[in-house]
Amino acid sequence: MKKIWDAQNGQAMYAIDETALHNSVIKKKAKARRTADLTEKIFIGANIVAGLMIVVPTIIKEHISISGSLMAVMMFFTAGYILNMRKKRLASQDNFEQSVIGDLDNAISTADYQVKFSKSSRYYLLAIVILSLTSLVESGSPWWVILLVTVFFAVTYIAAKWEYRTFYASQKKDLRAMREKLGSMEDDEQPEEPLDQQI
Amino acid sequence: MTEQQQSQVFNDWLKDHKAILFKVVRAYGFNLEDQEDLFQEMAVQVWRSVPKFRNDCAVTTWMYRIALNTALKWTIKERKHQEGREDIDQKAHVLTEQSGFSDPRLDWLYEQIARLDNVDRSLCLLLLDGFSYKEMSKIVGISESYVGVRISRIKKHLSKQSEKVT
Repeated sequence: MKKIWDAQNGQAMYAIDETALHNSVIKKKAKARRTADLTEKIFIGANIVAGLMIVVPTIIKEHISISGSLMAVMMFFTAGYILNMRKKRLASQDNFEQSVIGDLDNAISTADYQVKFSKSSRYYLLAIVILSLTSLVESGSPWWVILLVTVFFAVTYIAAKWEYRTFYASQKKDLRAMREKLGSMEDDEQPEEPLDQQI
Repeated sequence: MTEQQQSQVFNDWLKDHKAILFKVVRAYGFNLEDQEDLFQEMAVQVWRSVPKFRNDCAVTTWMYRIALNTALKWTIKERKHQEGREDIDQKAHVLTEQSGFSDPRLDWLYEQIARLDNVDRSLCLLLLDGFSYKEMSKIVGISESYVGVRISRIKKHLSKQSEKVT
């Protein structure tokens, strides 16, 4: 069997279209950047900008709204919290063993993180909804505006829940299942005979 | 490392060790569309891994680890995303099967490899490419004794299957 196998080394099974491969790597490389890394950066940036958009007009107009102030504080706090979580995540990435199982553990750790992030975002959204609606009521907005904003947030919440179930939770479950299978197979096995390295 | 240096190393690795990727692609992808998809995924992962390579193992070991890791994760993704895949006519083909490359015995061997579970498939490929049990244990991340047990079963299985054919 080794001879049959080694016969492959003399001749390539496939021909590679180098240009198509190059284009594909560039395209997929760009897509790979849309990960936990990009989501974190967007969240941090959006919270800081939104917080400033609330605080600056408040200072200029010298009109303090309680819900607006609370929202700004929450946004700056969230930005700081995510920044801290991001630092911890990046620091832990090199702690995994350099093997297939180590890579799997790393992928599970990232998936775990994305699941927690996605779940926390929904609670964060809830807080934003409450504060936004309070702010609209305080400012005397018409009922149809309040209704529209409520519907908008409800749709966003449903979409976030769908994304969580369909991608993050499901991916984590599959990775864990594969890892558990690898681990349990090793635990259940006992050596039946001395090692034999000869084909 | 600059992007140009990274691309240079990637191209060199691909030129010298593409057979590793081809073997894993053929063992885990059962039609040309799957093989193309998996190969492209592997190529991206190899490219991304270039700056992380510290010369603490052979390039072949490194490439096998990346290839097997990508193949295992691809088997999870591929089941879910079949409906989202681009129509094969619309994307450029990266791989073309070589018409002169055909050996029924090799086809049979790949068929047997494909029937093994994911872990055994990885071990079988490494075994056939001459890796020691210690090296296999390091690449996959399981104990050497467990490697020995699985290899013993793989050999028994392949011998039994080959007896049926002869």
